[in-house]
Amino acid sequence: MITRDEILHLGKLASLPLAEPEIAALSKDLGIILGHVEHVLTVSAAASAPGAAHGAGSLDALRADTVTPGLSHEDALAAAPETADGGFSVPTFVSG
Amino acid sequence: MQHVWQIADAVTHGELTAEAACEASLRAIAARDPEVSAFITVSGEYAREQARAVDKKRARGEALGRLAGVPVAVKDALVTRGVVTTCGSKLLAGYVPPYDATVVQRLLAEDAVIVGKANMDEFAMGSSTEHSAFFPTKNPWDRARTPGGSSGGSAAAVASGMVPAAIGSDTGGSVRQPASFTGTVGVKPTYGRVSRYGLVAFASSLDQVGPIANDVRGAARLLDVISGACAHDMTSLREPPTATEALAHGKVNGLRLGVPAEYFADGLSAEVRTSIDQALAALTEMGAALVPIAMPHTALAVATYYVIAPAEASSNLSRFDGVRFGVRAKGRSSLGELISATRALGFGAEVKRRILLGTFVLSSGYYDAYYGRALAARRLIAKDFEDAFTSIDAIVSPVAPTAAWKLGELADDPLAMYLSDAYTIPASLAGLPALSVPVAPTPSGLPVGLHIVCRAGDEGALLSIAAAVETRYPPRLAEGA
Repeated sequence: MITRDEILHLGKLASLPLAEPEIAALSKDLGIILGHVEHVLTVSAAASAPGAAHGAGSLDALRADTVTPGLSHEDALAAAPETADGGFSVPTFVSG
Repeated sequence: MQHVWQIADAVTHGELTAEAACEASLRAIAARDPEVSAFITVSGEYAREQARAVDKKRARGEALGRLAGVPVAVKDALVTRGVVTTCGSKLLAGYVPPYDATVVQRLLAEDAVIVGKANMDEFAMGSSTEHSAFFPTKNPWDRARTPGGSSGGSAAAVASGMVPAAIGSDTGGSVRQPASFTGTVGVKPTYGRVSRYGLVAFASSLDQVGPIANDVRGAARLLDVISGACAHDMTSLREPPTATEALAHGKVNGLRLGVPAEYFADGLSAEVRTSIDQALAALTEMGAALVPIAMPHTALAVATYYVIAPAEASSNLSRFDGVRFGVRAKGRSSLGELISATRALGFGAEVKRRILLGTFVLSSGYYDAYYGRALAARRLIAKDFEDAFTSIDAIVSPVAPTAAWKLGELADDPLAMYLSDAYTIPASLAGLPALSVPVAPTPSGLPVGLHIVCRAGDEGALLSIAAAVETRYPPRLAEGA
């Protein structure tokens, strides 16, 4: 079972404020889901050699550092809910 | 029913114009989608422009691409330049992306015509398409039932004959399970085979884009078009595109097919078991040998997935903050309030559930217990496959324990819905290629899919075995399509 306080704490960590009916439903559902997920607790973290579970993880991910055109300034701003002075507009977050 | 390759051949040879193929698809959508709800956006004018461009290209004597004039639906999880992309979420309602996903670029480069964006569970989190923020999609075979999910719109559009093929994405079974529920062919390629650039990220170590088509050859052609290395996706395999269409010839003589006992245990419905047993018998008649195998860590798969996928999702979805794109909550005085209020407003219940689950397993005090052990369990599950593939060529099983369930049946039981993906999740965790190909339906006529898994990178074998199955179970569309 996962408590109301734990749900509120997780909501805070995830920037996800929750309404009262959501808190009750999440407490019940997450309790049931975690009851199943706890099967992984039967596995020792040392039960297998460290490393990726599939081949793509072993790729060399480096490529040549070549400059290519990206999104234009206009395109990058086009879908923003609010813009100002050629930038994304947000409420003040640094005071003084 | 027209297949991908038939339309492309007809357009290439001047027997059909791309515009006529496009209009036929748009007419089918207008006639059937009000009942099925497969599309979030039908992009009629965008499609007509593409079709006219293909016809002009032919008129100029230029060679046409492998998907010349083929109408295709694209899951709304892939961004399309100039066409609204919502990912099934209110948070992205009205979002018009400034670029095309690599998969979309490749479809267009081969002269496909994108007729619309298909419905899906919000951020691909779900197995029924009921978690779409807009409306549920109905199964064309029985509209009281789910088409599966999360790529349910893509699968329903194909099964109802609106398009011969569609693009989906598969994180734990989201292409294969809807393909099984709708009687279509759905392929999840090897992890890294298809670029994820422009796919809205859910769980990045699992997400893979794949085709859904009305026959095996069509799925193979789409896979061959969309696969291949991509400079924008550092997890894409540095290998050339697949060439599976030429291999989809249907020979299984001499192949050893592993049958894992764990996939035929409690929970598998009797009617699905009957259909699968018939298909396995057909494969032996064609010369394949069935080999009983053990996959001892299968029972850990759903638990492992529901640690790793929500953990990655909780991180990936932190980008939705109401600042750069999407909707924004109004009238907030601080940035923190703006972000929190936007997320509370925009995310649906299932997405919130998974974000909190992911936040929990990554939080201080639980990280090693849950996430660390899930990574170990994932490697044990991958080792089950490695061990099995030392003595067999492919693994065959049901795609899902049941046929399509009734809409609303599992709505209040998230764990039951999660467990319905128990047979598709292991191959996702191991990054292996897998598909669903239709076999005999249930006595009440609901489609059933056979699940085939091959070694990493061996999509050719996958499509070849599927083509053999298809010779016994010819492609069918839902009644009225």
